Amino acid sequence: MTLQRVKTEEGSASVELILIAPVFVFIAFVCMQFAVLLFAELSLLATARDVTRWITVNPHTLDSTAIAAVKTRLPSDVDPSNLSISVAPTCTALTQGKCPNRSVGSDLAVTVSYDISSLYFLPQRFSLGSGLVIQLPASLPPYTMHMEVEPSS
Amino acid sequence: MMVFRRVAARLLSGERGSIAAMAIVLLAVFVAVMGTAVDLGMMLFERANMQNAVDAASLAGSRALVIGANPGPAAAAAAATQYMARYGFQSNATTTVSFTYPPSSSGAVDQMHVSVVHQMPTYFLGLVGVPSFTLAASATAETYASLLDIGLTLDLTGSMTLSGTNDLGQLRRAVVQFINQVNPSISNPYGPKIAMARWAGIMCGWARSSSTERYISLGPTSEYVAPCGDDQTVLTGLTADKAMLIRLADNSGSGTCPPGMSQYACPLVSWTYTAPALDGSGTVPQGMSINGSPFTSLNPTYTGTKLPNAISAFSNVGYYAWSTANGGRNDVAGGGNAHKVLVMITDGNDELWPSQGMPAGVSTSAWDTEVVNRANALKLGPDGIAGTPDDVEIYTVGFYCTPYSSAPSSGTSPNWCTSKMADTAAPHPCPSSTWNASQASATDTLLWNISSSTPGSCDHYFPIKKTEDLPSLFAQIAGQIARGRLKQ
Repeated sequence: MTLQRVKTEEGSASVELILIAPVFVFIAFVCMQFAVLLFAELSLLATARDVTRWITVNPHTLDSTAIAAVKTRLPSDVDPSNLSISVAPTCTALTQGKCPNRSVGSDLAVTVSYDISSLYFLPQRFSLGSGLVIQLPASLPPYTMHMEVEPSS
Repeated sequence: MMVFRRVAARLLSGERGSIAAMAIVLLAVFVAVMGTAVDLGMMLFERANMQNAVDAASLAGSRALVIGANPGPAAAAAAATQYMARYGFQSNATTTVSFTYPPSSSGAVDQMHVSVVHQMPTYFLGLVGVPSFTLAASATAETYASLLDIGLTLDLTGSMTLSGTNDLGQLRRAVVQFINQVNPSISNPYGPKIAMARWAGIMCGWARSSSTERYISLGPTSEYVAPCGDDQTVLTGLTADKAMLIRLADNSGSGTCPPGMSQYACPLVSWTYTAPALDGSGTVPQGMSINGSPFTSLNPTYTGTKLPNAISAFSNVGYYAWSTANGGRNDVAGGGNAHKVLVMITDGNDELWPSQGMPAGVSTSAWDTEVVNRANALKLGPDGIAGTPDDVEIYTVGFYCTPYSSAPSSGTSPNWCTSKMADTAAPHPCPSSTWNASQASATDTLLWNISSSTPGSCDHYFPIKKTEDLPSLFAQIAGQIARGRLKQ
């Protein structure tokens, strides 16, 4: 009787493992994906800080010039082509060599966002049945950094 | 053998579903790990955000400690609180924001320490009894003058002596305050340097009509004999010798007065002009008369006010204060390229003195135009291009008597109270982020035009009454020139 039971259940664990393993592998990948995105998010915060500081000490720089300049100074893990930067108040033209509205002591806000489409190794869209669709964002939430404008260099 | 079979059977008897049971357990563990990861991820994000907040707040606060209308801890706390709020941190039940002001090595209160402690709620760990994380961040910032080449150009016209207030005493203390605030040091080659110049009006030769009447005017329109020269002196080129600079300002301390400067400075004075004897007699002139009447109400040996001298003292055909030969730092590849600044103070406006007979083509309106042109050229630097490292940033200080008067200045009735903005209650309309022309007199507009104020603002123009505290204003300007830096 005992021998018969062994024969009938032989391999059932393997079968169960094969059924369950993808779930665990998937969870493991989700964890790795989360880690990659978290790393990008923390890099974005550090980048925002560096970009904002650069512009606050070089306030009389055209936005296009400033953004091009700071993009050459990014850490290697931040892809400049995926990084969007906006500065407020904007400076699209210099008046007497200066950006209006960026006097020393005024507030400068720099908003950065990062396109993370290329960081996904899992699908961005999951469809769990017809009613439940999970769409992961294409970019990290914008982060706005405030700093006071300082004397220009 | 039978025993072994029995044990094996017992072990194998539960195989069906064992992986599923294990999976359930592992799934719970994985979900817990994922939840922890999410909470820890949120914690790391919040921690970085807190650090950004305290960095920005301490930088803003440290500047408010030494600049602004009412610099000090109250202003610093207000500025820092504003920045912390921009990041979502205000003192409440879950957040504690605190400020301290540790003194720097010089003893001055110019540093600000901002710290925040925040209870961040968790999303998943709350299920296992960890409802929140306690996060902390802190930063200390100070204002400091790094690679700065600053020129101080000082109006030492007769009005600084004759206006009836203690102007020279104020100016000496103000310059000392400025030097201490900027804090140059010979031992720090990458620190600030300061140059100093004094200036007044125009020097000419007085003519002599006879051997019995000394140095008189030759007629109703002729009190000058050309050639004339600008009354300006460079007291010192760019130097990090703090002791010498203080010696120049008020004759205190251990520094040495530069050779030949004692008639102008050590301490700073309104220099009186000794007219040359044009008849070759070598006689030292004793005074001068206007149309035969000796000067009695005003000392005739001052040379009036020529504002262009404030600029040309440091920038003329033969001398440029920020050149490398004169101590300027202009080495991008090597030691660095200094930020160049000119701080100009005047208590007057363009004024011909004596009042009649100035050489042809000279007028106060021409000087008004000239000083703005010179300032605009200096702002661009020698290369004439805005936005390059040789640009010079100009701050102007209008130090005026009150009440304001729009009366024209005449030779015997000089009007030095020509700033409408100085004659307002503090804080004055400038410096600020908005320039209001309706509040300005012609003198205010002129000094504003000379300054490097951001278009639409008057952030580089500082009008002040003679009864106000000039040293505090100079400290404020020193703070404005200096940048903030994080110390930890």
